[in-house]
Formats: sequence, C-alpha cells, structure tokens
Amino acid sequence: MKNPTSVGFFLRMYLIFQQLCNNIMRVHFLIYLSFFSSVLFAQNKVEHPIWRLGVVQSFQKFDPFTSVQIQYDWKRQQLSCSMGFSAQKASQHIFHPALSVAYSRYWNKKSWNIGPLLNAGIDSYVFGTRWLYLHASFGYRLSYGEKWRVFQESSFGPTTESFTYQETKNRSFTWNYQLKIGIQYALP
Amino acid sequence: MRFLSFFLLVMILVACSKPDQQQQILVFGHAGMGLSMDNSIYHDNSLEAISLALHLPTSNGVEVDVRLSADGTLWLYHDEWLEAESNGVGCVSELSDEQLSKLTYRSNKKEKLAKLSDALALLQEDQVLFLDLKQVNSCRNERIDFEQLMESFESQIESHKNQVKIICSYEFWINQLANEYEVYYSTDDVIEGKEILQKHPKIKGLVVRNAAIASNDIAWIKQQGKSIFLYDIRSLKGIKKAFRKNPTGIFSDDLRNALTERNYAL
Repeated sequence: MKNPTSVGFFLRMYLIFQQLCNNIMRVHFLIYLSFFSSVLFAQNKVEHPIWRLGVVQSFQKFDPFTSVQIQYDWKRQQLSCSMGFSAQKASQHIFHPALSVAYSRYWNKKSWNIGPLLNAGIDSYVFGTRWLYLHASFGYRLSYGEKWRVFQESSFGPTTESFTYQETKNRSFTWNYQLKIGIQYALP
Repeated sequence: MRFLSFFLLVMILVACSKPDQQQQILVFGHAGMGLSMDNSIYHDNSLEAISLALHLPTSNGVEVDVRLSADGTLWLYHDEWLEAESNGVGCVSELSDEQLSKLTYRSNKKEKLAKLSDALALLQEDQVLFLDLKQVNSCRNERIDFEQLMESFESQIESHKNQVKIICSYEFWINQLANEYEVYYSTDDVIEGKEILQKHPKIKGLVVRNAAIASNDIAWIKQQGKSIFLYDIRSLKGIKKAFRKNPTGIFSDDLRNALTERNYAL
C-alpha cells in the first residue's frame, strides 16, 4: 500500500536517518541529556510574561510523538501549543501529525514549578483510510529552570479513535495517559 | 560535497528497499485486538475487539480461543477459569449457554462473553478466523468430549467452513479434525512440530511462538509445502523481527502496528 505524503525532502531525510538509527527515541534522549548541563548552569532569571520555545517527547497509549512547543508564561500560568508527529509512524513512512494545547497554573519555589494541567489534543494519519484521535486529559506539570527549563507532564483522560473503512464507521472510546518530557528556552 | 551526495543517495536506496515478501505475510489479530494489550481498547476475545480487528484496513482476520459450553455451544474465552477474567466462577465447559450469556469481562467496558457464531457473522469474504481449540476442562481435569466437539463444529461453523481454520495442540485429535477442516498444530517445540508435520501429512502447518523458532526452521517448513504462523508478537520490535523470518502469517497483539508495518512503502 502506498501512502503518499507531502512532507518534503528534508522530512524524508529525517525519516531515513531515524530508520537507520533503528531506535528513534534514543536520538531525542541524547538531545535532552546534552541540554541538561545548560539547565544546571545557565540559570539567568527571566522577567514575566515570557515566551518559551521547546521540544517535547510524548508517550501515550497508541503512539509516541516528537513535537516543538511554544509556550506563553504569565502570572504563574502557562499556555502551550505543541505541534509534532509520530516518529514511530514516520519510520513506517506514514505522516502522523499531532497538535495539542495545554494550560497549567503553577506554584514555584526557587526554580522549581509544579501545578495542575489541562491538556487537549488531536492527531491523525492515513492508513487505508483517515484515522482520527481526539484526546483530553487532566494531570500535573513539573518543571525546573529559568532561562533553560526541563519539564515533565503526566495526565490522564479520555481518547476517541475513529475511522471509516469500507463504509463502516468505527468509533472507540478509551481511557488514555499522556506522558511528556521536554526542554524549553526562554525567548529574549 | 560529492561524497555527501553519494552518501545520501545510498541512504535513500537502502531506506527505499522493502522486501516484497513482507507484503505477502498474512496479519491476524491475536484474540481480536491482542491478548491483554493496553492499546487494544477492548477485552480479548470479546465481540467488540473482534469487530474492530476485522474492520481495520487490510486485516486478514483474527485468531480466537474456543471453548465448549455444557450445552455444546462454542464460546470464545481464553483462560481456563472464568474468575480469571470475568465475573463468573468455574469453567466454560461446566456452565450452560444461559449462564454464560450473563457473564461479562472484568474490564472497564464490561464486554459480554461472545459466542463463536456471533464472531463468524462479522467475517468479510476475504477474511479468515483461526480457532484455537481449548480442549481441557480444568474443573474436572479432563479433556472435553471429542464427539460432542465435532457435532458442535458441524452445526456451528459449517456455513463458514472455508473461512475457518483450526489450531489444535492435541496430537490424537488431529487426523479426525483434518478430515473435515484445515488444521494447524500448535507447539513451542519446533523439533516436535517438524515430526508431527511428517507424521500427519493432512496437517496444513504449525503455529509457534515467535521467540521459539528461527528463520531456517521456517524456511524448512515452507519447503515442505506447509504454512507457519507465529504468535506472541507484542511490540513493534517483535513485529519487525517476526516479518524478517518470513512466516506465512503472524497473530499480532498489536494489530494496528503490524498492519502498518507490513504495508508501508515509500
């Protein structure tokens, strides 16, 4: 089965590179580890409100996703938007994009922040037919850092999987988890 | 720059090469959407799981576990004891159809136990249902009555005979079953499996755990004109490993990933 995508040459190069690595997650964990030193030492205080840019690796029941994230911080509140794709599906040459929005409040002590989180997301891909996943979840967000920040999110909530194949509509509801780790940089 | 271009070209060629043989491998859902799998959504052997598995694009069918009730009806249930997965107590073989129809799985969705006849009705024309025959009544510590089993098969699967294949792990039933149906022998001992294939030529092939068999054994079995199906394939890594062995088919616990992995191509 052919699954033509319009992801372009550079994405294809990335897919091929990942395929050769044979373990997609390792690449991302290496990136995070390489940034940890920066998080520990480069901790200039930042003024709020502020925009942050980051990369996120997320895991849930069906697919892991790699995303870029833009976040707005103001008055101990955070609103973030992540856009990414499933690296696992990418290794199978299927473009599986995902979009999620999260809102959290937080309390902070020194450079540590923790607070409740509301998350909503959508992801979709084509395999034989169009598959659509809708997510909503509630959990917590923990982060550390000022200029550079590492964070971890865990949330739990409902997911629906829907697709129509051979004129039959299939829609399933299930409880799902969302685990995310990532690193952010405060934009000047 | 020239070296870099050459390197990228080689990478593209390597990444684009997809063995055609992989696309020929049949992919079935293990007990519907997988046995005790988190992402299956529904409980294994439930009608909901089987329906979802049969509706996935390019799905070749499902494998289910079959047990005989006290009334001689074929029900789908994996474990020996009802209390292991459902709100019932005892064994399927000890309960009537009426009692079994009231039972539900101990899952979030509380799916009902399903009859084989209900699952057969969901099959599409080009799909196949493998029946893993559970032949022991653990409550009495004895095998179920073979004559009654054959009668039940005759009355309950006759209409879908061409789409049903039977998996049996009891050697002494094989010949009689093979006179009427397409039969596969289930074992984790590949040496024993090869001996059974030679001893009972009517058997169509073997069903073996993925980790228990190597590529050369699979090649040998296929050279004998027999089929080989692998099971206990839960992760994407396991799926890839199973495909590399080039079996006739696999019973995957992660059907979505197995189907996409089989069918992908640039």
